[in-house]
Amino acid sequence: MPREINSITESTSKYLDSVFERIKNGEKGDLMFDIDGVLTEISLETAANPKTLNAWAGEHKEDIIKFKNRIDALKKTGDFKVSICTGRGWDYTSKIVDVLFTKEGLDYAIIEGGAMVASPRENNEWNLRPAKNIDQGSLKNLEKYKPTIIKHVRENMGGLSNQNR
Amino acid sequence: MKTLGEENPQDKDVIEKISKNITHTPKTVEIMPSGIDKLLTLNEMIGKNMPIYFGDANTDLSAMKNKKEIKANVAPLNAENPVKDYVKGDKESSGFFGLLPSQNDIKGVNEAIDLIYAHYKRVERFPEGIKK
Repeated sequence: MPREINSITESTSKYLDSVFERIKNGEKGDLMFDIDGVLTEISLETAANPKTLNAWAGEHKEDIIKFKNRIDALKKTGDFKVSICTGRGWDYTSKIVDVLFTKEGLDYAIIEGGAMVASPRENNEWNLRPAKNIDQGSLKNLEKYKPTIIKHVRENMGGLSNQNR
Repeated sequence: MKTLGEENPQDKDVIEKISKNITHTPKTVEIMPSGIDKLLTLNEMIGKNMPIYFGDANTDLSAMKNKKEIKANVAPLNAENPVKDYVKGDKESSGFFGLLPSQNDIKGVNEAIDLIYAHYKRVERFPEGIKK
């Protein structure tokens, strides 16, 4: 039976109960959000969609307040963590964090398609580190050849967005 | 058009290996070190926790198919069709939970969280009066 969103059908209830049963048995729920096309309109602040995040936020003030309230209410239960999982870099993701989350609303962010992880430190600062599974040799080669690759993408692959993604 | 390796013959092997990690869609270009995948890092971060993944694009599918026995996913109305198809799930499968909100991006996300919150707290709907 399809899980209809506006009513809790019997099957929806069953599956939610199985998720919550795990949570009540000591696991936490981890609400994990992609950014583009999920939390916001797709591809903001890129060549594909030059609209700024601030302009989008201005159009969605009420939705953003509702989102913050819902996240904070779930976090208050103590049973849920909240995270972001995106292909974007930290420059853009940090702006999303400022616009969409209250101070303690976000537990961590997986950024750059899984290459990096951002976790909060004290004083509103964030710690950035490579994911543990990243191949260090591959990472070093990517750093070494980054200018060559960016030049190639610009000249031979139709350009690059204003984020060096 | 020259390939990356042809432009830099001295480092041909390494550069050609890297160029295999460049993916692009009509709207974006992504350059990754090899072996990087949202799923691997997601599995590293969730540990014993139970993810409920909100995604819209094909690049989210690997994360949606995470290691947990119960797959819990949400795809807003604007999600790509393969994502919505995956989130609909196998109707006969146990351990699969998916929600397809009736609205796009953040409105759909709020819709789904309303349902999750209401069911978790055993209330009829999210109490809008809650403020931090």
